[in-house]
Amino acid sequence: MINRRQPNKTKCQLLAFTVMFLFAQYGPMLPAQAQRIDADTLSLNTGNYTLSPKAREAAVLLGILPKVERLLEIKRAKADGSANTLTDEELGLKVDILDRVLGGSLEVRMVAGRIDRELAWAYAGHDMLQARRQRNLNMIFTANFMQIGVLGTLSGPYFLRDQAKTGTELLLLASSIGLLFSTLSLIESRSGTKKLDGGSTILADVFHIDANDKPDHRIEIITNYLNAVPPNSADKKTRIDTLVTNWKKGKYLTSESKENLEKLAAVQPAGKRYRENIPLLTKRIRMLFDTQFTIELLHEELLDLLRTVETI
Amino acid sequence: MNATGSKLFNLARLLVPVILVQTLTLPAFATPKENFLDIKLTPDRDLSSEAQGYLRADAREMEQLLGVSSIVEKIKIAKQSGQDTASLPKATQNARMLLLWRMLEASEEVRRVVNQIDFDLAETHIALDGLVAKKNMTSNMLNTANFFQGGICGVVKNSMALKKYNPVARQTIAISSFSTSLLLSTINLTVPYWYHKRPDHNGNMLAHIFDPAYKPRDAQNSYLWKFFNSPVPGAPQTLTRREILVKHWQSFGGVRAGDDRTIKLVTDSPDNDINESIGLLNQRVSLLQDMKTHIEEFDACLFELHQSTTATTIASGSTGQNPPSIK
Repeated sequence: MINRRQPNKTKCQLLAFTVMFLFAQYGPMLPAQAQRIDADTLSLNTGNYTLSPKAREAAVLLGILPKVERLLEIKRAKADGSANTLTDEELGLKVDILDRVLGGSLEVRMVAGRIDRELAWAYAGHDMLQARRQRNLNMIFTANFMQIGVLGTLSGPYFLRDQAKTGTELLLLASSIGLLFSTLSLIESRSGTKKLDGGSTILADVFHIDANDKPDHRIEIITNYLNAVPPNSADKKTRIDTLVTNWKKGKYLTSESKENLEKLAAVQPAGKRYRENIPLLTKRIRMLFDTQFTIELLHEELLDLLRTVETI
Repeated sequence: MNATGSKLFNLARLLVPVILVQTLTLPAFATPKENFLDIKLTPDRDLSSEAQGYLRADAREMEQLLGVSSIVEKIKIAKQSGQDTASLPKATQNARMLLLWRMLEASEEVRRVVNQIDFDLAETHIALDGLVAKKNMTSNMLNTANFFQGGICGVVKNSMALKKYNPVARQTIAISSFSTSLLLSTINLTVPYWYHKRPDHNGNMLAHIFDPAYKPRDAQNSYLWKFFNSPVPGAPQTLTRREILVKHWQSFGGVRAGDDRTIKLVTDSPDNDINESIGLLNQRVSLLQDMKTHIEEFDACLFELHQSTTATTIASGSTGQNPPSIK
């Protein structure tokens, strides 16, 4: 009985899978393609002028939601068959929206540029400490080999001349120095610090730390974007909370003490002299990349908004 | 001893006033040395003029560079009337469109140059990684060989000792092992200087800054080029941004003034026939990265110009004009 039904069940599953696959492949593309081919026709036929959640968030962040909605309203009114020409009001609204979108885009570029600089700085410090550590370790290893070679070679003739005591003493000395060098290399492989320099990073904004050196440019849109909950978010966490959660999960953020956050953000409070090491710089680099990626996702929302405004 | 002491005392009596006079007078005669270690290619803010409603210094420079001063003026005046920007007259909307157009054009110029620098950086990183990998592999191989030979000779020597072999033979093996160890570790010291890469002769973006005769094809139309060939407004020195960048690299980047050989090397010049080392590639990465971040300062200036024309409210008391003292 089960064996006879099995092929039918499999066929149904296969058919369902094929339908789902085709829908997943081509379903979402259809409206987009139609928009590109004949956006006005589709819009007029459906009469459905709505903003996607991402486009809506972008409009809110840029402070142009009423203008976008007004544009939608005009389009809805036109959908009943009136002329499809651009009125002065529509032109004004579109210029306004374009203006703000370009502003948002420039802000993202500016902040991404700033993070590029902070990343370059962090990488330079990281590479310098790594190179210094590697050079020191190589020197220690080489010195160890050399001293063993020299003392070992010197001890040989003593053994040959029946002066085993002196020879053994030399070998003992070589072994002791070897032990010392090995201990030094262990210490060196975990050491290496430098003074904290280069000014505070964007992470100060992420951790909400009040840095002494205020940046030269206001980044209101980005700050609001980072502190907002993304549209359709399941856990209702802000973007900053999501970043922090992921850093904790990945063990990049192991302590939320003020000092640790300040060091990660390269904030040097008055009267304190923090130093940074390789693990700290590695964590900062990772955090800066994550923040840059999150910030650049705003481009996606701006694009969504532009496309919506273009097609309506 | 006493005679020597009195001689020293007399010498000190003579020298101390001379040193004091030198210390006190030298700074007065010395020309102030300009510091190019930490540079900023954008003008400093003038908060007092901003409080009067004037544009920020960087935005002001940008509006002049893009040739949109009259447009910015028009928009400011229109906005001062309290009118909603969407309902401004068509002529003003056209002016706004032109402003946005120019800003987008300038922004695209930055993207284009940054893209080229990113390519140069990627190319240099690939070459650098290749050389560093080779260097590390050789160094590791030498260390491993050293351990190996020490281990093998030690096992052989001690096995011979257990079987009561001739001590001379045993010691000869030990001495050979120690000498080989010395030789291998000495060789290891020289490994960082072994590996070089033949130059690609592609030339990179650094050449555009180092070569004073360089001029791009679109120099007449390029806002970025004009920006880099003009001095920072309000700065004490009259050097162009390009010259400041070169001075900056001379201060921190290890490129001495007039050192054509190094310049040819870091710029990957077609005239260069010297192979590239790890140190040189590191230097090139550092200079390219620095150039990229300084070029991206242009984005911030554009942003400030945009902010000044987009702000919904304009500071009260604004004359709608720029202060005249801009270079």
